[in-house]
Amino acid sequence: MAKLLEVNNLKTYFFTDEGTVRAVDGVTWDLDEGETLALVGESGCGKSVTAMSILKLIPNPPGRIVDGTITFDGLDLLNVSDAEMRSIRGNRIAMIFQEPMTSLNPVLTIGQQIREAVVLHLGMNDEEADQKAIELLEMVGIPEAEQRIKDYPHQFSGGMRQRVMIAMGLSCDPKLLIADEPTTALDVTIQAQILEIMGKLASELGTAVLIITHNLGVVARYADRVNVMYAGRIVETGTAEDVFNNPQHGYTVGLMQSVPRLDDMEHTRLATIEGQPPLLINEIHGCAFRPRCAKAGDGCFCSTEGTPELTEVEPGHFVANCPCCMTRDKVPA
Amino acid sequence: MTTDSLAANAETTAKAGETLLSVENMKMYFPVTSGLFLQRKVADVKAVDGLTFDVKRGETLGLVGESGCGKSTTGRAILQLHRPTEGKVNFDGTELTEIKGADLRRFRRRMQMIFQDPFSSLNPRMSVAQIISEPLAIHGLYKGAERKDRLDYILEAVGLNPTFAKRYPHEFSGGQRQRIGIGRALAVEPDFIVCDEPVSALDVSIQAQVINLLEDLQGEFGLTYLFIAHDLSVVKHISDRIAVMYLGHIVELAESNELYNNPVHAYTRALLSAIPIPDPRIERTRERIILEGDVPSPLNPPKGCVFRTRCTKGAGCKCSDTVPVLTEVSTGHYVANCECCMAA
Repeated sequence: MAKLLEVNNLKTYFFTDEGTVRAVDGVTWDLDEGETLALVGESGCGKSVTAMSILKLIPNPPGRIVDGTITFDGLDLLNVSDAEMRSIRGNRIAMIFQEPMTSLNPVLTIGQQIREAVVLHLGMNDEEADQKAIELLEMVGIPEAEQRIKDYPHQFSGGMRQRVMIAMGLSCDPKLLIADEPTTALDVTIQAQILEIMGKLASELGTAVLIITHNLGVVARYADRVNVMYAGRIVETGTAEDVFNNPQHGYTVGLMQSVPRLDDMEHTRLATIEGQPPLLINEIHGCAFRPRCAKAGDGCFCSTEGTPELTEVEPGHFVANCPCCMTRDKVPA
Repeated sequence: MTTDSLAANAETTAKAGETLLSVENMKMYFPVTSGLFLQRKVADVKAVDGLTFDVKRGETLGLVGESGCGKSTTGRAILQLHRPTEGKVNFDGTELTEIKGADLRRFRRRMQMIFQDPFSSLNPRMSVAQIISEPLAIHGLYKGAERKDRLDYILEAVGLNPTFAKRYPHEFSGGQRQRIGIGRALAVEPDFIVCDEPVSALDVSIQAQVINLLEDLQGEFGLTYLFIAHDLSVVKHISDRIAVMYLGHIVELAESNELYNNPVHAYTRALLSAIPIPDPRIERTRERIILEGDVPSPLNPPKGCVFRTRCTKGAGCKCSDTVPVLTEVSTGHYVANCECCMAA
């Protein structure tokens, strides 16, 4: 199938008074049409900055995309005009944000906010737009949609607001939907509702989804493929099954083992990754995971020069080729 | 350390397994008032509406539920940070709802709390040494030169370098700050600690470090935990028994594995199925129960069975009009006896 999105050697840096923060430092990945890809990692690993770079929403200054290319549907996004970018945002690439409380405008009705995108991008008149808004709300399962479009965001619960965000995101039938931690602020039963709706609609409409999350369970349930990010780089990528059932990189293994699982019947001590993620303000030479390497006291031989390249270990499964991090049998279970 | 507290500690280990805390029909209502001057009471927010449970010495009881179900209020009402509207809270033979002032303060030494937000629960103007020493000063423990030793001991126990004592909270990461909060609770040698979402604000790899620390400290000091969290995977990992709360009520209470293997109440089953297991092979075949709608407002909860508005049976729901009570379905496994919610 044709690649919908290709990100090649993307580098997004923030130039601050304290120094240069290498938030995203050379990531390469692609996304097929209709596919669901997850970006996983801990806070500050560059997941959200990657998404913001695709939409060219990096605040400049201090941030800037310093290198790389982003090709969306044959279009070189980094070289299109601002006007052209505006016609893509919310239209062919839509985004759902984490905070349903702050990402809706409190002084506009729900209807007005949904209408904005379809009037702008699809050139509908007010009546058509109203009709479309009602259809969209019904699609995401909001009862009495005709009445509810006249309501303001504060009259909706958190889960309903996130449904409104999904309705807005899908209003122009996008090719790509970026969901940045779409359920982190929600309760678990509401999280299940929202992900179910998002997954169902995306597959009906053939929309590709880039889901950004730190919740490994959500990835396992909904994603086709996974990119594991650490310190601004991808350390492992592959199908969800390969990455979860046959993790190769020390960080991925550590991450999987540090999450308590509902189906663990024996009480075992959680494996931990000692220390903290590195500060991205310091340039990282070699393997970024070295300070937390499980073999630290036991002869860590992580590379100290260059950047470990992604290497294919089985078809479609790539791992950053730090020989130390890849020999996972030495990671304490 | 005074000889008194040494003796008390020896006693503590001897009594492991017996009931330390007993909560009976505890209700916590918050009044909603109206009017500028007269402040008439117009309604009650029924945050906690009749809870009955025991916590045994040395065990961890998990309290799980969604936001607004009253888990945190339960923790605070036990510690008498909110005075319960009704009901009894018996801590090691003393009825806490009947004592106040200096008597209650003495009990505070034995019951501590760890908070969710490691950023707002530490005073930014106090150094780590001051934060951890303050409860010692209040309770008159470890006077003079002993206090410095105690401080070093506590810092080491929670995995911080004693040389950090002069630093201020902003110099630490979230995980380290949570360790300071744990140290503060631990300093006064408590028996019982309410952990209110202690790992929710932390990243997964840091979360595992703090969970392990809490388990180590429990073993070392014979602590009893009430572990409050919304993440059932974490609660199940750390707890011996789990109470599932919904809208101010306990709907199910059982030993951790029993709750996962044989959930009875419809809400527990929906909650379990809503939590994804990080394994795509398992997830592909797992049954999912998607609950409709949102949790009703505790200002105006449904009559009788509180779960009726989201009952998975929809139109066929026969939830009762009488308030269900916890009934033992098998040894140590209690379920709110709504016939409709219990029918598998």
